Amino acid sequence: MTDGMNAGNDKENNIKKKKENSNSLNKGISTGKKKYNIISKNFLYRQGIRLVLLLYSLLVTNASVGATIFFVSKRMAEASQKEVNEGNMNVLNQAGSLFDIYLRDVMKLSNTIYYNVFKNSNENVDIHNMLNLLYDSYRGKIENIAIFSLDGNLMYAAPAARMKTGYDVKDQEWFTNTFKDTENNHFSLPHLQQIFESGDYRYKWVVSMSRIIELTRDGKSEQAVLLIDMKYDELVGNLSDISFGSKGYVYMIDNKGEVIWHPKMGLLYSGRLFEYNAEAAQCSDGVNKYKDKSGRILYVKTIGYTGWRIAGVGYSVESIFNSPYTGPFISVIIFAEFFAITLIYTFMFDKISDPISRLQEAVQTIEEGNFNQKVPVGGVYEIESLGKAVENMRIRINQLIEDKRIENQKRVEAEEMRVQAEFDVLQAQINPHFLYNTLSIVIWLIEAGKTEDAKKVVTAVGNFFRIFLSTDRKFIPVSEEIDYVKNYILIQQMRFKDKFVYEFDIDENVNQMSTLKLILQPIVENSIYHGMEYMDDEDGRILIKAYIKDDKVYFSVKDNGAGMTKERIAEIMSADMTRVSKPRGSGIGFKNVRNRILKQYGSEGGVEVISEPDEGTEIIIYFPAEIYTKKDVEA
Amino acid sequence: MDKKINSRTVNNANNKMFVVMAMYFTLLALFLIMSMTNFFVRDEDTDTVCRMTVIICEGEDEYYTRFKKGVEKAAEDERIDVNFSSIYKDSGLEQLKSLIIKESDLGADIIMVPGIDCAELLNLSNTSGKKIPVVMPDSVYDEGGGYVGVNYRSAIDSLVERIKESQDTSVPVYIIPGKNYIKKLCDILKEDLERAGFNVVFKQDEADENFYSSFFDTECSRWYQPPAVIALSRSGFTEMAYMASMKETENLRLYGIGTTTYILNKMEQDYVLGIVTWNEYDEGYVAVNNSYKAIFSKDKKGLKIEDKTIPSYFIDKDILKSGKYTKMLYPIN
Repeated sequence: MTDGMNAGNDKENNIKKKKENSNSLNKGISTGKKKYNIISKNFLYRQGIRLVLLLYSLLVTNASVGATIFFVSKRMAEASQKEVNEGNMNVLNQAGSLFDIYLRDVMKLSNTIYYNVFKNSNENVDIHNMLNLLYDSYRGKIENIAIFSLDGNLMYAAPAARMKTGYDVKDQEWFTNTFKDTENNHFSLPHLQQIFESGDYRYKWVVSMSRIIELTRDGKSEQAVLLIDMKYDELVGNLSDISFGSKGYVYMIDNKGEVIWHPKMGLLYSGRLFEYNAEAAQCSDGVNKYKDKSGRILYVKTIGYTGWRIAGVGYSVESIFNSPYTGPFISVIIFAEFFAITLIYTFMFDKISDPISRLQEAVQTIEEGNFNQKVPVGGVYEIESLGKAVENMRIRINQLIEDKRIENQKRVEAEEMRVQAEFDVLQAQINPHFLYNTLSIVIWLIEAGKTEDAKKVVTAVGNFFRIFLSTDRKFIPVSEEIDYVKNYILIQQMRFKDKFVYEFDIDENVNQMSTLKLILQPIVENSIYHGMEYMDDEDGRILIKAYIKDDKVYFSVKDNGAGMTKERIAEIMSADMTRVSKPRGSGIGFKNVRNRILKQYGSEGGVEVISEPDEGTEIIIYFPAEIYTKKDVEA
Repeated sequence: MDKKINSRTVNNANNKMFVVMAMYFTLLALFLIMSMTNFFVRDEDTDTVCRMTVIICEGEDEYYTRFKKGVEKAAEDERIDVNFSSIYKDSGLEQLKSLIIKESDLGADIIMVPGIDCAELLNLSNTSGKKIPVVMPDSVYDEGGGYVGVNYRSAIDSLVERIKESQDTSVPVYIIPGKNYIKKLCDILKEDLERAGFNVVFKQDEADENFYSSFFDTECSRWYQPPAVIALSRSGFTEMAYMASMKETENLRLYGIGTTTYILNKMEQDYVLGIVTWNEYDEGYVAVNNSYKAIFSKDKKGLKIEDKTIPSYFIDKDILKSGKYTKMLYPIN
C-alpha cells in the first residue's frame, strides 16, 4: 500500500515537473534568449538520443561544410574576380589602342595635309584635288576636311561644301581651341556639324580635330585652321561591341566627366538612367570599386592626346553560386549531399541508439519491479559492457530478493511454531489442574448422591475437552465458542457451589461468524477467579454478550466483582508480558488472548478493559465479522 | 536466444549501412561524371517575353525615326520582339482596325499606333474574343490610349504666346490638321487661340493634291499681315515647310507639331518659326516600357518610368542654335 502511494506521488511529481517545464517554455517564449535555450534543451531532451545525435551531427557537419564552401567560394570568387578584372582591362586596353590608332591615323592625315599639301608644296599644286584624294582615302573614318582662314572664311573643303548662312565658325569651340596651343592638334567633344549645307537633310555627329597650319597664297604665307571632322559613329563604334559579362558595359567620358558616348545615351539624356560618370572622372586608370553597395567595378583607361577616358562597368563576382556555370551544379551537389549525409547519419545513429533504447526499455521494466526481464546485450563495445553489467546486476538483485523471501518465510514459520509451542505449553498447564478439580467435583457429587448433577458435569467436561483439544483448527464458529464457554461455566458453577449467577445474551446473527478458538473462555475464567473471589453466595453476576456492530463481532464479559485500578489496567494492557502477574486458574490469561487477536487481525481487532475498583469489570473483545467457511476449517 | 536476436539486428544494421554507403559513393561518382558535362549549366534567359507590333502609316517612317529608336532600345532592354508594320496612308479607320485585329491574331501581345488618338481602338477584340491592348503614344494624357501621353499644355501655351506677340488678332490663325491628327490637341489649341482673341480657321487637306499650293495662293496673301499657320500633322507640316521654301513667300508664319530633320533645316532657313516637339526617343522608350509594365505587371528596375507623361517643348530658331535641345532633336545613334 505504501508502495502504491509512493507510485502515485511519483506520477504527481512528474505531472508537476511537466507543468513546470511547460510554464518555463511559455515564459521562455515571452522573455527572451535565455529561455529559448531552455526550450531547445527540453525539446532535445524529449527527442531521444538518436535525434539529438542526428541534429548535433548535422549541425556540426553542415556548419563545417558550409564554412568550408563559404571560404573556398570566397577565395574562388576572388580568384575569378582577379581573372575577370585582368580580362576586362585587356579588353579596355585593346579598345583604347583601337581608339588611339584611329586618332593617330587622323593625326597622320593632319600632318600629311599640313606638310605635303600646304607647307612643302608650290602654288601649282591642285590643293582641291589633293584634299579630295586624301578625303577619299579616309572617307570611312572622316566626314570632311576643311581649311578656314583665321577670319572664319571657308578656303578649301573636301568633299566640296558650302557653309550655311548665319553660322560663324569663330563661335565654334574647335576653332577657338586651335589658338590656345598653335603647335598641337586639338580634339573637340562630339558635336553636331551644322556649318555645311547638306542636300539630304541628314545630320552628322562628329568629333573635330583642328590645328593651325601655314599656307602660301598669292605668294604670301598665312595661317589657317585645318578642320578634320571624324565620324563619331566610327570613332566609338567598337565600344558598342564591348560588354563585361551579361550586365556590364562600356562608356566614354571626357576629362571632366562629361559623357561622350554611352550605350544608353538617349536614356541618360532623358534622365531615366543614372551614371557614375563624375566619379569615373576622378578614378585612376585600372580597376576601381564603387563605394556604393551595387558591387559595381569600374575599369578606366585614359586615351592619349584627348584625355578622354573609356570607362567599363562590370559587376563583382560575389560567389561561385552566382555563376551560371558552377552555381546550379554546386547547389545540386550540396542539396544531394545534405540528404545523403542525413541518411547515413540516420542509419549510423540507429546502430548506436537502438541497443541503448532497448537497454533503456529493459531497465525501465526492471525499475517497475519486473526483475525477470532479461537485459539485451549488444551494440558497440561500451553499450555491450553496460548491458552486461546491468544484466548481472539484475541477476544479483533477483538472487537477493529470493534469499530474502526464503528468510522471511522461515522467520514466519518459526514465529508460528513458537506461538503454537507457547499455546501448547499453556494448554498443557491447565489440563491436569482443571481436570483434577473437575474430577473432585464429580466425586463429590456422586458421593452426595447427586448423580444427575455429576452426569451434567461429566457431559460438560466432555464437551469442553472436545473443543479444547481440537488442535487442528485455529478458527471455529462463534456458536461453538459460546458452547465451549457455557460448558466451562457450568463446570465452574458446580465447583464454586452456586457462588455466582451468569447470563448469556447472544445475538443470533453472531453464531455463524468465525472466531479464533478459545478467546472468550479465558476472559470468563478471569471474571470467575478475580471477580467472584471475594463475593458472598450468589452475589456474583457474570453477563456474557455476543453481537455484531459496524461489521465487527463483539464479545463482552461483564462482572460485578472487585474491579481494577487504572494502574492495573495499564499493567495488563502493557505489551511486556513480564510485568503481568502470573495468572491463576486455568492459566490462559488475558494477555494471551490480546496478543493472539492483535497478531491475527492487526488494528482491525483488539481488547478493551472497562473497570473501576469495587464496581466490576467489563472486557470487550472485537474483531472483523466474517462468516465461518470451509477456508476457516482448513486454517 | 536473445543473443541471436541481437546479433541478427546488428547484422541487419550493418547491411543497411553497407547499402547506404554504396548509394552514397554511387552518388559521388554520378556527380563526378556530371561535373564533366554541362548538365547543370544554367543558360542565360534570352527568350523574348512578348511580341509588339508598331503600326505606322506608309511613307511616314521618316517622321518617326526618333520614336522608333526609342522603341527599339526599350525592346532590346525588355527582350520584346518588335515588329514594325505599315498601313496605306489613305486607309480609313476600319482598315486600321482590321490590321490591328489581324496583328493580334498573329500573336502580337501589344499593338502600338503612334500619331493616332482614337478611343474606338481601345475596345477592339481579336477573333478569339480577347481584348487587344492598343497603345497610342501621341494621344493626349488621360484621354484614352493609356500607358504614355504627351503633355502638350506648356508648349501650346508658348506657341500661342508667340503668335500673340507677332500677329494682330484681326488676322485669323489657320490650323491645318492633316489626315492623322490628335483631335484633343486640336481642341486645346483652338480653345487657347480663341481665348487669346484670334479667329481660328480650319483648313483640311483631304483629297486635294494642290491644297497647299492653292492655300498659299489664296489664303496667305489676302491679309495685310502674314497669318499664322499651324500644321498639326507631320506630313502636313512637312508639306507646308516645303511649299514655304519653294514659294519663298513671306506671307505666312509657319508653326507646327512634330519634328523632322527637314523641318529643323527649314527652321534654320527661317521658313518655320516654331515647333512644338518632345523627346520622341524617350516617348518610344517609355511607351514600350509602360505598356509592357501595364500589361504584364512587371517593372524594369533602375529606370524612372513611372511618369506616364512626356513633356513637350516649344522651339524656335534661337533655341535651336543654343544647342539646348540638340541631343533631343538630333539623337546620337
